[in-house]
Amino acid sequence: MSPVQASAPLLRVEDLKVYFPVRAGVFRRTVGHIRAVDGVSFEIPRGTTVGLVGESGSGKSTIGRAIVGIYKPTAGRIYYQDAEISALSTSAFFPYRKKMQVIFQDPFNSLNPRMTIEKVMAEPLEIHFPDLSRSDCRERSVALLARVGISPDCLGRYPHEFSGGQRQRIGIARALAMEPEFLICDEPVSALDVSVQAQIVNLLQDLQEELGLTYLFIAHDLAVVEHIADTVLVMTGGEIVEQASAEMIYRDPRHEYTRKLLAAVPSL
Amino acid sequence: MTASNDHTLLSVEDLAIRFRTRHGVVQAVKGVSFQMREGETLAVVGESGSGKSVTALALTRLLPETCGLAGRILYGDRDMLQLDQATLRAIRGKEIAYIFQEPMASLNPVFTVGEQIAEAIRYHYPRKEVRDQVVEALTRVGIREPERRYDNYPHQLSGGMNQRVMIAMALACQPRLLVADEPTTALDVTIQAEIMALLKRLRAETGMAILLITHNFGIVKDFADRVAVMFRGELVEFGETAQVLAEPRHPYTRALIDCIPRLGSRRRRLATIDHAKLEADS
Repeated sequence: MSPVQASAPLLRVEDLKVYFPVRAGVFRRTVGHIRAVDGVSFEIPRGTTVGLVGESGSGKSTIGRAIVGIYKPTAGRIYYQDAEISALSTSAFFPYRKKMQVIFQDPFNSLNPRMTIEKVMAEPLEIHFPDLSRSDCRERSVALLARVGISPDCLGRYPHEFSGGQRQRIGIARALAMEPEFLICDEPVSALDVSVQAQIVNLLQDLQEELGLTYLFIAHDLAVVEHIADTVLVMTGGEIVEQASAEMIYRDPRHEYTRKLLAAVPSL
Repeated sequence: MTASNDHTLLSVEDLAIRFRTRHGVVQAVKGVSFQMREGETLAVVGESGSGKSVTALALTRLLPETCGLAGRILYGDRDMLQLDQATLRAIRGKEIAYIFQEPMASLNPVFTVGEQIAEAIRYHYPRKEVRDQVVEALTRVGIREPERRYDNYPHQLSGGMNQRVMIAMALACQPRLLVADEPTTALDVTIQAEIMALLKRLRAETGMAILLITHNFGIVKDFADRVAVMFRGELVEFGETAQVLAEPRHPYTRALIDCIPRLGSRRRRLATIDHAKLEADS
């Protein structure tokens, strides 16, 4: 344990390991493991952004999913404030689902194509705020959509009627509906045009300032991460190979892999 | 820029493309004119919906029959918009080849990658034993163990490997023009750098011209001789890459350059594109 700090971290990950079994043969016996995340530790101070960079397959998304309980850690601990959340039962974990929200890369895949935007927004509200009346629910949806720049006229529309950038805004509005403290942004801008990417990055920064949100920002593009993050973790092969402030990562990269990532960014 | 080579490969004159939709006619491209020289790399830059991809597809008329095409696309002494389908098919793949953004979506999941490259070669050179040629094509794009990879299916390869397969297929018939429509947008930055390096090497080896479609000026700077900027179906700027980057004349070009996050520009607010304002100004 680290000594007492001025501001306690909102999230703390200790020696996290997530292994996936490899099965083979008629009896699907486990013949080995894929070590997706292999002994990772870091902290995220409240109100800050930690960027997590690495290539496809480096294990960065697995960390995000382990934090929100989609994957069960093979070993290690995850603390939210002071509570260990990696060993909770589904029901005990329920309140944390509200505090931690995820924004995914492809909002089209994460929005149900058969639901109107009103329904998309209302569903999580009905689950986590059961006392809200239908009109309150609608009012809140409209306000949230307006905050992310989507007109309330769009409530009756379906996801396919929106552009990629608009769908990402809807994904953000839905995440904000839970009044979360912590957002995991998993490649939120990788699928977007550079101009739309800039809008979404700016929106995320504004929201952080306004609402005091804490971000784990997962991406493969070091330029975007360096732009938005306070601290950067560089990951490859399931391990964190470098951890430094965003400024230092750029000015004085230590690990060879970090240099490779920096060199790959097309520069102007 | 290759100053020694000034022959015009392709000349697009006053191209207009229009689609009839349920909500009325959409003018996707209007009055676009540009020329490409033999062996040059021209980048077409613009956002989604700016008309860059349909312009590229129109070069060999890879658009639905129902869409309205006007203007001229001169390839040698032929106007692509006037050719019959058989002649077009003989040009597509052999003289003008394409690679696209999502290699997985372009490859057929039920055939091995080797068979798919073989098919592309056999289409233009029938009755030929092509396995050796395919293996050579795979080798050229830097795929290790090409003999073994021949029999792999697309799902057994990574995104970067599949894009290499697409490039091998596109270059198998040694085209004079490669149209690369956002070839690295779906890939990791490190893989993106590898694919762009590969295209550079192949360009030097073959002398082919490349029409590169992208929304990222970072890639343009490193790769293209000249750049065309499209905005709302119109070509708003055209010039040498270095010149356009140094002194963009159109506000839209400026905005596209500014919105890219730069290393070392921490926490500065990124510029965004104000479409309403651009509309009012133009």
